[in-house]
Amino acid sequence: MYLADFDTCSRLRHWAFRAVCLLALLGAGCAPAIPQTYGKKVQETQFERIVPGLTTRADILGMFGMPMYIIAMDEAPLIREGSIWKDSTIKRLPPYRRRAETFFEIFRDGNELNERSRLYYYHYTYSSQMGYFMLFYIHEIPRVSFRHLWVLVDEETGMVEDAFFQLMDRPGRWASWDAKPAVPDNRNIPAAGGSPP
Amino acid sequence: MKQFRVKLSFMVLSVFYLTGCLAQTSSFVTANPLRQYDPDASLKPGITKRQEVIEALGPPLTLARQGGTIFTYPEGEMKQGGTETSAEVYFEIFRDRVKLKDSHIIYYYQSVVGSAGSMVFVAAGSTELRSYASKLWILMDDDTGTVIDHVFRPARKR
Repeated sequence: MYLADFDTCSRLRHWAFRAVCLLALLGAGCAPAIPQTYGKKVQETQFERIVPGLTTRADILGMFGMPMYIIAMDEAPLIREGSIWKDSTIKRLPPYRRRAETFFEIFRDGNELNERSRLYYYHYTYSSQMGYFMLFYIHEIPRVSFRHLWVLVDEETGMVEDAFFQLMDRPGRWASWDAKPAVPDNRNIPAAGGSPP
Repeated sequence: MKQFRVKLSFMVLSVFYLTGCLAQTSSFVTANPLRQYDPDASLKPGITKRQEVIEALGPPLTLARQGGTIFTYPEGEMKQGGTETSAEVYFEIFRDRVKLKDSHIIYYYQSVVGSAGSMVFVAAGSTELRSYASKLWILMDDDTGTVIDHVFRPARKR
């Protein structure tokens, strides 16, 4: 009688263990969330086409479309950065006010900033989330990346004076690029004392 | 007795599963160059130039000038709003370290890390949200465009 009881109990425990393992296996996995994007994605190759002193405002608008902000020196625009994944939900990043001079600091060295100076600011936010789950436990890893492009334009002449591109791809990966000014073409400049052919 | 224990544990697990008992954790990190930057090694007083700082960290979140005002943001994972405050609150940080001049300006950067944990047990639940901010103030001479001093407060668990 005792042996029979022991046998039934052992079999039951065996099945219960199997059931829990099966449940854990069936209930385990990962699920990516639908990415959220905001703004216009600027590519590194597009940025490389900007040449200060040669590129015009029309070229910039043709390449990237309308900027999110056109900022003058003494302004304090309300910056919006879209929505991101956070704590299993899509959250709208609250807008915040920022002084324009913080952006103009990028171009302070090597540029003459004045009342005609305007910043064409393009901003891009990408947010995705990966959820890992197993039975009663879920772990979520949201990912947010930003791309910023600032183009310094002389509002009167319409010429691009400088540009700066910043990419913050992952928490551990970021890069920034400064636009390369045009190399002066001096092939047609006559030598001292001579005359052009 | 043993049979009863096995049945009971199986039933308890089933109740947990069917009533939606769940433990959930998430970590939130905003992409920010400050997370990979070592200010103490990179910022050399009198040597590091403004452009080097900009290239490494991008434009400052706040720029403080003596006698001016700045926008400050509530501590949290996201910047929001912007309250106008006297820039002196930032200059106070350096008052005992450096002899301040009118040409001095301060660049302020911050990077925030957050984590959340929640637990649902049958009909009750609790959630805990935490955020830690790294803050960097860089004192610069606006005339020469060089770094004079800096104060870095790395994110710390409270």
